[in-house]
Amino acid sequence: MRFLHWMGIITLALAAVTVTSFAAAVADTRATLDAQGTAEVYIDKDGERPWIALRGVSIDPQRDAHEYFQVVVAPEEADADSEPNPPMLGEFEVVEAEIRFLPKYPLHPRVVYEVRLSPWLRRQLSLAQQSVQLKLDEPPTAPRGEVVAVYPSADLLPENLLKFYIHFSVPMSRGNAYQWIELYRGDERVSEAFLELGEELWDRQQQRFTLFVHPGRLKRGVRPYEELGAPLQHGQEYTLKIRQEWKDATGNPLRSDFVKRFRVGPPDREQLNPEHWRIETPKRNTTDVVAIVFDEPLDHAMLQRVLEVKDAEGRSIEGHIAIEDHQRRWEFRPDASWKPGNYRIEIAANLEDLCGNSLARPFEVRLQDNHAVDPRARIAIEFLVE
Amino acid sequence: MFRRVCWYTVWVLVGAISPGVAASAADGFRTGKPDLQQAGVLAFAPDGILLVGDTVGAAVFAIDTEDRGPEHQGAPVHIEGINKRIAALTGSTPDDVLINDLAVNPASGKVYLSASIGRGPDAAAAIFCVDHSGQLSEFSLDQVRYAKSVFQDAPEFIAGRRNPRLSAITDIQFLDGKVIVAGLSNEEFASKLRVLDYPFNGQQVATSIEVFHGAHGRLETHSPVRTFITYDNAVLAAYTCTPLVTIPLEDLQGDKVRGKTVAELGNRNHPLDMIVYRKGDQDYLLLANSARGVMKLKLSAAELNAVPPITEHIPGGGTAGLPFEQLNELENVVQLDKLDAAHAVLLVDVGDALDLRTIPLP
Repeated sequence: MRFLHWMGIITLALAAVTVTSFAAAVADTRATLDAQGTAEVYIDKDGERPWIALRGVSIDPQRDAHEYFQVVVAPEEADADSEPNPPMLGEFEVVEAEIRFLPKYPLHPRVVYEVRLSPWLRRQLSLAQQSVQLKLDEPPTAPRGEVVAVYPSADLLPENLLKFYIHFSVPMSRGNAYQWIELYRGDERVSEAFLELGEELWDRQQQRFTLFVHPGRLKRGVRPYEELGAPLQHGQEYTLKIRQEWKDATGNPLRSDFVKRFRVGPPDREQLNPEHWRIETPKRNTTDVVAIVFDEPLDHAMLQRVLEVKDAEGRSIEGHIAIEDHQRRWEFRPDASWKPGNYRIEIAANLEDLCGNSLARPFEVRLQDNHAVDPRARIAIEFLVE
Repeated sequence: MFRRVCWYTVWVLVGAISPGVAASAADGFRTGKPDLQQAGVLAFAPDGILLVGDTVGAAVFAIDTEDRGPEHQGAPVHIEGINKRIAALTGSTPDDVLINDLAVNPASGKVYLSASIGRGPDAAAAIFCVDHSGQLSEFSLDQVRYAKSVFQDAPEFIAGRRNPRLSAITDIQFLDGKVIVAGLSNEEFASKLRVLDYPFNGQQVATSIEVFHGAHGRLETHSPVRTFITYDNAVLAAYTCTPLVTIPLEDLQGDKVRGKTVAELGNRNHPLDMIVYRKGDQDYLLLANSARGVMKLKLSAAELNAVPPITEHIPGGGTAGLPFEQLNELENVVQLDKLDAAHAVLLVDVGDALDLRTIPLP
């Protein structure tokens, strides 16, 4: 009798050592619970969203699915004294011979999860161990994100430049963008240069970031402009630096720093004037481009969105847009050949240049000579395919 | 070849009911899981209705929390490392929990937080609630009564292609049956304050906001609103270019209005959030900003009307308009709201974490 009792303790101790060694080494996607290796918890990654499951135990029909175990984020060593983590949000279900925990939010590749076994389950399996640890087995990936373009792309920019667009090759992380963007005049860092918005200005894919120059430093008579001046000054040379530490959506940094060097010219406070543009028209029965050549670079994003080609009946022509010559040239190539006739290019009046001057109005309107028109209007440039 | 340039006007439809928002009830509310793509700025409408700005979905949601009181009269809430607590609940890392805004339900005194779980474009939208005992829990969106108002937005000519234009919703407020929304486009520099009828009926009016500046106010520009409150039938707004401005609510009728600059917040800060409260017989404004402690300003309708508009810069760092007091002991406040008649609740950035704190109203 005494012998048997000791045997039991030794078996339990062995089981505990086994499980502990699993947990203390590196948490894996699975952990065996009993000495026989039949009961285990594991992360199932086959579905769209991974879940945590317990299998190899007898299912008790009298018990709810959530009575077998709980899942918590494993405490870090530094947090040993703080209160224990609460159970993670999610649902339990019994499927076939498994008890599954479906986390409400996706499991995180850098988090170690602790599966806390319920006292009755530990009794059933004769386990001393209270919990085991699991981790998604995601191999680390190499950084692959990079800045693929910054617009405006020219290397001579106006003193009152309003914004940059930064394009990335992969979706990026949101939340601390401004930390990774630096502007230098020569070797000297320019502070307070940009408008910092907690919301951050991204497109839906988080591959394009819009960086506004602080508008208070572009508006004459406003305190930041009068006391700090414009961030960009005519005649000076600048470097816009995007730091490599900026993380992509998977948590990897960029492959390298990106720098854009440019010179600064005089400010531009003029409303856009289509009379100064030139149009190049295509020939009939070709898919040649119709192009507008502007007298200055215009906003890269808006050039792709707010111009539309229509035929004489007002039907949209399908085709593709290209922006060339450092945003001074807009081209439209139709999918089908041009037929002879009248066409027009409709342009929204809110189309802007690099400084926020639009077709509708200059960035700053002088009240005594207010030529502003409704920004919801459009203009039409008509052309003939002969 | 010939060319002719002509102007004409295409009015953006105002008042059209957006497709896909067919309502199941007369007030526009239905029951189910709202397709909230990002839980951004928050505000409360009466009866425990939580307004949530969704920048990615270009919409405002009204969500019935069913939290209608009674009003809290108890211990102030205080949670250290609230982002860590949310990470533990959601199985994420504290770094991958972004708390986007905070709002107190005035009916109950419970604190609601909007968050993104994850930092990428597929981050999950989530709402959390802190009750009177300081207990943090998820406010589940799985089965709620909600209504949605989609923005009728700027002209979009690239039919069939993905439109990268979004309007970041920077603040939202409720007043007298209207929801007022401030936003900033990620393309053109515009300055719309949208006023939506509430309950949502598809009616929305967007007004362009201008600010005077330059010597003697002879220049005006678009001025996107960063954060605002409503006070005495006016919008009191902090602009991205830093003046503090009043705009009469009755002027938000479409077209454009010119705000009156009543204070200048200084040159090295970005306004973040503000509240108005009453202490004794005096109203006050508290404004959190990126650079310094919270700013405090005495507020009265009479003074706002009487103060002459600031139309030009005062040289040498001088001040004009309504005077501010700096509360330097309140540093790194990123969000705030009024908890009850005597307290404010703050979200404070303490470096490696975010703390939720309660302070007596100063």
